[in-house]
Amino acid sequence: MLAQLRQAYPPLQKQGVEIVAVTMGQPTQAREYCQEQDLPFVCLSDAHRQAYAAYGLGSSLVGTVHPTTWGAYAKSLLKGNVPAPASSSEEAAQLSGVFIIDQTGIVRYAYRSRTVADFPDGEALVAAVGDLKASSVVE
Amino acid sequence: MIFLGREMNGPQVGEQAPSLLVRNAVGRTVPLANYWRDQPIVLVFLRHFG
Repeated sequence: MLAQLRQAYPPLQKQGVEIVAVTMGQPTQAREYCQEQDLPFVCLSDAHRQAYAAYGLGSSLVGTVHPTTWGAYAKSLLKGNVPAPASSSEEAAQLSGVFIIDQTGIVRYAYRSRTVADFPDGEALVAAVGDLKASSVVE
Repeated sequence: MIFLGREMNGPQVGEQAPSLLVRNAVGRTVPLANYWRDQPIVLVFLRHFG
């Protein structure tokens, strides 16, 4: 997930789009995590996961034990990305999501993960922004 | 694939994004809308802390 975001960030910036990341940690945890992971974009804290819920991001216990999940974790570990442990089983089952939002606050792209390892690749995000730019939806 | 878990509703493409209050790096409460006022954003919800 983080690798895809790092990959997507420079071309997104060139298109005038910023990445804003929301985490489940407390503000200090979010800050430390984003510094450790060398994430160049804004990191926010939603410790009570109210924003996760508002964006329709549920949880899936099946998703945490799905074979594709462990495959994705193994690949990530081989690349040196060590995910932080969840503090509860409920958090471990939390699903992620990606939304492209324009300056008027309208959702122009929505991707809700189906398993915990399901995440759009960086190229897909850049392409989605490019498509919106081309159709003049994102100014 | 949402099974043995919670599935929720949320904004669809073309709908208004919810501007929930979150905390920034110094712990200050800020509305999400603050981040999309100046430019479009890719809003990413991470798992765990990453």
